[in-house]
Amino acid sequence: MTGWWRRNAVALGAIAVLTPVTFGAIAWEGWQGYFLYQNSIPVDVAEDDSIDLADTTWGPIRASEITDTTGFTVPSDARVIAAAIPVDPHGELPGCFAPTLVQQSTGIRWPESRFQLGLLSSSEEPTSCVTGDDVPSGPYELIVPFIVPDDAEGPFWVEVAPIPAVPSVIRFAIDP
Amino acid sequence: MSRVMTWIATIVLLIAAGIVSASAPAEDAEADPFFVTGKIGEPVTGRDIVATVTDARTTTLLTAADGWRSEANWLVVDLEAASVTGPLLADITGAVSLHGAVFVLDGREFRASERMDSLFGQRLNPGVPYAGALAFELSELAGTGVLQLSLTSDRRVDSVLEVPIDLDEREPADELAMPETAWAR
Repeated sequence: MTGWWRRNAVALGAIAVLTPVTFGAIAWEGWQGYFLYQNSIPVDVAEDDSIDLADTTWGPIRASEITDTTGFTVPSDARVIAAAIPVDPHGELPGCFAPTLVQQSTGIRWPESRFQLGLLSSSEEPTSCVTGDDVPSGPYELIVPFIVPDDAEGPFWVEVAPIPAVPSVIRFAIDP
Repeated sequence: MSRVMTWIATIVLLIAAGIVSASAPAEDAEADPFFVTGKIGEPVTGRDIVATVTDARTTTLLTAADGWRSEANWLVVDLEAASVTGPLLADITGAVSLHGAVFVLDGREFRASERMDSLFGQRLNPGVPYAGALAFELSELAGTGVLQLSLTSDRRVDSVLEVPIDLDEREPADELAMPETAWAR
């Protein structure tokens, strides 16, 4: 038997290498879209902390429940959570999707809902990243309200997805 | 093996092959939607959509708040709709919408009309429903059809909510105004 193993050592070595490589290649082929082109890799930011990503400093976040909703269109079985995220671009302004609110215990994701509250969009309170040449490139704040059911309890994450940082997504922990 | 046993084995195998062939799912069955059937007045819940049909009305003249009007065979379905989980990952809108709305009558599929503002295309919020209506322009207001709701018109391997609606038991109104979309509560 020893002789057989020794005679076929090269072929056996090739099998030992190629088998895992084959499975790895098949798995990567199937998963690369998920890991390369979507916001699939969260980068956690602790409370009161900020993070540098896409040549920009993000945070620290401030978040609270808005109790005085006079003038807003709020459903009676829901509450409004608002977050303010300081954005300090050091170079070119990075674009981003409007931040979303994710319940940590369930993964339920709520969209930014400024318009749904009856508020018009405002350049003073942008809900997604400021881009382009016709705007001041200094630091600014994203202001994003979310409409969640009364019974949805925290803690939550506010996820901000800078487009140049894909597949990384910034995840601020909040518990308003 | 004797000649008789060979024949018996052949027949048994042929029957078995026939059963397997007849009971095998269709080639595209792996992409079938998951149908969830409910009835008017009950919440019907799928993977990421929950809807309650509150009423179904018919008319031969439908109007909308912006002055639009149309004389035709209209089915107006009043409903509340919300999403359940929202998108798995952050994406460009961060939300899902009601983009699949079909009324199936006598094997024909009528898509929800986009000629007036309605719940069609409405962004859905998890757990906080919108109320509004969908309008379907039908060939006739007779028979029993099925309302089918889904997040997108591509319904492969996702939930499709089904609510049967009997048109015969509804007297068409002379005129109906399309309700506006608003928070349900």
